[in-house]
Amino acid sequence: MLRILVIIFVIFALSRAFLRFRDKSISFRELLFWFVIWTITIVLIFEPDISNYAAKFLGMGRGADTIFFLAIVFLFYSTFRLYVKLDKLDRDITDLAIKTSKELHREQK
Amino acid sequence: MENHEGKVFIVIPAFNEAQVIGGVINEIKNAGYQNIIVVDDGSADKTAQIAKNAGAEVLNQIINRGQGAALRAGIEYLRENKNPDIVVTFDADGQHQVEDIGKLIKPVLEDECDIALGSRFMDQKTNVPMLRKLILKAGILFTNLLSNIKLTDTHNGLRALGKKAIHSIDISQRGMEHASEIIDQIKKNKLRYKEVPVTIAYTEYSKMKGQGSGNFFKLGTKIILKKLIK
Repeated sequence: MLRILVIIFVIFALSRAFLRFRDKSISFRELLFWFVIWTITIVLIFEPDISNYAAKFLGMGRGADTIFFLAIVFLFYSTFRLYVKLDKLDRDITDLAIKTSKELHREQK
Repeated sequence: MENHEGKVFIVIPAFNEAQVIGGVINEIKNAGYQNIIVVDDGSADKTAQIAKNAGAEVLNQIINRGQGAALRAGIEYLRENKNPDIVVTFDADGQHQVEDIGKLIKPVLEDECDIALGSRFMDQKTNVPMLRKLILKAGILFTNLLSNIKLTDTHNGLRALGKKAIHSIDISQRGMEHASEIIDQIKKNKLRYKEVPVTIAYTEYSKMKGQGSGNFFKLGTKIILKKLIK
């Protein structure tokens, strides 16, 4: 049952990524990134033993722990990237507001 | 009444200060400073209109971006259009004293320093509420550690910038963290600085308008995060 739910979710997520690529909201590289992530998810759902190789390689006990560990690292990194992007967006809005206020002032004079 | 026409510009960032801004501008004008730029930071009340009627030049931020952004807008505008000798940053909530402007610009005019910073802790004239004092002192310690400059007051909005400071300080932090950023830039740009004792009037209004004590912790986190991603 869990496998079916995960597969349905992966198909949904992939279709979203593809649609966003089609309307040019994400680049081909980003589409490829999500494709790889979701493909790994599908593979691990059907062949969970593969994670044990990764566990061995990283020197960890169980495959499931390794996936959990990598997921947390990935989430931390994603949060950091989001923070950086939001900060950039925030700065852009400030730049725009200041530029607009100066231009409006010039026009009103 | 002294006349500082053409030399000194007073920048006042203001957000919803309709209640007091007119009085603050009048006091400054009566002290002889005629060049007043109010940056209305997206106020919902009549701050801009009242400031204009009181005789200030008003820059309108279309949305609220914070005190740092408002100061940046004012300083940039002056730099690009008025060629000022001195820019004084002054709070809109009435907690700064007009008499202190003269004390701040004096060392800049006499080329003792590139920037004069107001300090409420250099004498005993300011009656700082206990909790505020504790938090401010922690903030001072924190900023001094991060910026490696020893100051007695780091979050005081009353300053006088000379030409070198006007042209070298670029405020990129839009909120209250700009105060720490200015200190960082003093160090980075090797500006000569001097602290000058000033008096802060803690009125019920200014306490209500000012930073809540809890905000200082948020501010500290913000400063560290921004330093990390720089």
